[in-house]
Amino acid sequence: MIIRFRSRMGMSRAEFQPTDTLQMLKDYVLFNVLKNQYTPENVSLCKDESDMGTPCSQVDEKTLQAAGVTHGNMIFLRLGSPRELPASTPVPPGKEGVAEVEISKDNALSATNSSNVASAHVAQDNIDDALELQDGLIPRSATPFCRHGPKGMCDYCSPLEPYDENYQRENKIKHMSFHSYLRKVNSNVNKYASTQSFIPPLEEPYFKVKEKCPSGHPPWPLGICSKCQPSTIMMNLQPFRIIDHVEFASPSIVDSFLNAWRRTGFQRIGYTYGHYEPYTAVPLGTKAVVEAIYEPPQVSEADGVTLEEWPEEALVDRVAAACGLRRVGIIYTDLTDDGSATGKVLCKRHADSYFLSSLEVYNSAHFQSKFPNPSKWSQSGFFGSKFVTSVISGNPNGEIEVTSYQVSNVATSLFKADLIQPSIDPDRMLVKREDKSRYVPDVLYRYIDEYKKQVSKNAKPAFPVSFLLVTLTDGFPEESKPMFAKHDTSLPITIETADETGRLRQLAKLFDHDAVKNGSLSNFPIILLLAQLSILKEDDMEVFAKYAMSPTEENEKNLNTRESYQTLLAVLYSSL
Amino acid sequence: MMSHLRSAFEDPNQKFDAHYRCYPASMMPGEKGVNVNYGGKEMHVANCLVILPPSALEKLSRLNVSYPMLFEFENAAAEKRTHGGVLEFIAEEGRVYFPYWMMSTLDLEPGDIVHVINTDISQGSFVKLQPQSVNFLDISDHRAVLESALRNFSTLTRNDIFEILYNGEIFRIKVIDVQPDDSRGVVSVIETDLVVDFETPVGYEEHLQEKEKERVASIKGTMVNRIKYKDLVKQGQASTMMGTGSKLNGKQVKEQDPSEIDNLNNLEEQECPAPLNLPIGTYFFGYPYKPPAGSEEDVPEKQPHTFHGAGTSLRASRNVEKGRGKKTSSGLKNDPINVDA
Repeated sequence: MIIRFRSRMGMSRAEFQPTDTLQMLKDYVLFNVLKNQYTPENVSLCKDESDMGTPCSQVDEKTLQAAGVTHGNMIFLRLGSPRELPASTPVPPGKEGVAEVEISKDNALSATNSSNVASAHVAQDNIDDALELQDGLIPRSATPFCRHGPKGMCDYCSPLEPYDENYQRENKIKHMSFHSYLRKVNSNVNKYASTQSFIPPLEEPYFKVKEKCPSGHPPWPLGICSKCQPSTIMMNLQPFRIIDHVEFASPSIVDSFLNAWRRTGFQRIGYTYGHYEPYTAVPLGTKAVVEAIYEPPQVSEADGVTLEEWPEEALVDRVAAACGLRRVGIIYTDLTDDGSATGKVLCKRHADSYFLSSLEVYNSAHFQSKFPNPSKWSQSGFFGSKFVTSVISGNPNGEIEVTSYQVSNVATSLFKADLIQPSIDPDRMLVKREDKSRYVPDVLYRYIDEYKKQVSKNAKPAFPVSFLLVTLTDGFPEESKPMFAKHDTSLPITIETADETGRLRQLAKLFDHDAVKNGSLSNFPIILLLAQLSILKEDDMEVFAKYAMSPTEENEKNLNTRESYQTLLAVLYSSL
Repeated sequence: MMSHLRSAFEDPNQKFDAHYRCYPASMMPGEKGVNVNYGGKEMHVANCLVILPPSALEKLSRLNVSYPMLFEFENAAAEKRTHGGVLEFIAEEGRVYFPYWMMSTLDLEPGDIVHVINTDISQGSFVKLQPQSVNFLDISDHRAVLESALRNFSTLTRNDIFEILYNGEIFRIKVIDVQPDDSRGVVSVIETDLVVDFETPVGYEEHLQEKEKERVASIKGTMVNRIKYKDLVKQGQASTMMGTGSKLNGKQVKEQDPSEIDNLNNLEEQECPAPLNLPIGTYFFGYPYKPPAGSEEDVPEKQPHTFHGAGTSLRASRNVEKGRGKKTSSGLKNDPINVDA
């Protein structure tokens, strides 16, 4: 009988007898199909795609007949560690940046990127790994020009590449998704089906004078040559965006954040915590799902807000990681009541004024360079950033609205090279003057002048901020499934104002079994406060967070075995 | 006066019904004027009490009237009426003195004729009042003020706006509703327990808005001052327009008004705006506000009509037909086809 094998390596088939054992089949797979590149532990035999299968190392001596394998059966081979998911399922939140993915020349993977062999061992975010496995092709239905049967395909109806220009124009996609862009650039740089050479297709702009110039002149500022001097910077609209969409898991997250402004009229700033998921509205898109907003120490004013020193930054990030979250961006309010007493606000940000002021772009460039996006397709191992900037301000109808932006890679590179400076005009960014510490290359930007001609203009001393901006879409999910049941951005007032013993008593009340079922613990500030007591051990934090967010019996059982949790309960109950 | 003379012979069951010329109490000879208007302590006079001539007393005493005596005052010309009691019978014959607010309620000018009828008015149980200005809210104890003020009133008529004096200030209060409700909408408030309800004062909404504006203004611009934003804007201007001008006649050149820097257009004119050097993590939103283009404040001005005008001829046209023809041809002189036609 014939048995077929399907894996990332492709399809193959082999002749077996019904009396052959599974062991024999396994050996055939390992040596003939997979060419001995995988250890038995890393290969699983599965009946279908959803099946997790049995690893080859655990296969028993059953005959094929006894195992129910018949003529023409397809066996799927799951390669790599069994935990790795196939590309079609979404990535579980919060696991980003954990698994180190190593792709060598030999085990080049799926059909589309079989030639894309990264040289560096870069730990990419899981979302990027998952999206790389997708082909991202845009399917098309049959057209009147098609002259073939329903199962045929021709030039008119074959699927489009994710970066197809016509498709983008028709669907008004201003910035293509990062992975579409990557495919586009990669198809230009690296040839299909040639595994011989690999050139990283992406390169982050670098605007400093290159150090250690090989031409043998003294280092800058004493000498400079065409090899080490940065080339002219031409500012264009960035064609891609790393994040396409910002999704707030529940409207109450933003609503609770707005309460501070509603109470005082002072502006507020917070970091958004969440995870990344594929965004299906655009080909190969990525969305950041915001699950919580944390308000760091800050000085609020009616016309501004200042971040202060944040000693607990590491702790908050750690607790968020235990909940499966990471810092995805920053959010702040820029709201001014329009004085009509109808709850409307001034529309400050529009096409005639500015969307992000030069100062905000400068700040965002700082954050984006602080949180780089690891990418094995880039020469430096990093490309851009997934950090997003969300502004809550008034729209032209006077309603409160969230808009999200990223600044372009050019902006972060200009920031890193210390070439730009915010100005008092929110719509213009200054180019710094050249001095001993920095070399300022020519900076140009193109625009369409009053005679409808495209002209380039020197960006010194100032240029429009809009050249540095990338606009994202944002919104709320149709069916919200937030991770946290409660969305307070700050602690409940009863806990906030209580003294030390009172606070413990308030916390102990939350641990009541019924209260937990109602989600009393499913609140980021509460979990954070419990972590600050530093009774729970770091390892147990994750188990606790899991229980707090979904108080099932299984999670409870898991948690009850942890010693530090019992200590915490003892401390809390003693305060009652 | 005729009516007054006639009334002396009328039978006791008839009503007191007379016409007088009315004058404000301030025009009374003697010192009483002010007190009738707003109530004075030593005289214990009330606000809706009038002063009638002695002949009225003479006539009333011969009729079967209930006490306290209450009257309906009517301005027949304006079809307005109100009610009140009588303070004294010391007016000159043929005259009646009113508190000023009653005259304005009745739409009367000094010297106009007013119709005075004696009437019975039922005791009130409930009134609803609406202060006519928000400063009524500044009174801390409304109950006490109203109790002492209404003590001086004998009747309240719906839609009247009466005045009370408290703490040197005049408060105007409108009567919105009275209970029990007879067709005239009037109740007597002498020796009754009255339930008083208040409507929001006139102008309360605007008052709230003003308060809100004040609050917004008070929280506005703390950062703008801290980072000296305006100075930076000025600095940018200085760098673009350096130097001063001078006139040949030796007069000073006008300096630019520093208050003008408050708009963004000015910022855009600057070739090189001043840098805004703030530490990382500082967000400033106090830029000059620029409304979006679609809004009312920003409607683009109409293009001025240049080279527009109508031609006129000095010579009067002989007939209409010809004249009209001439005008067209002169209006379009440059069009040879038209002239030929």
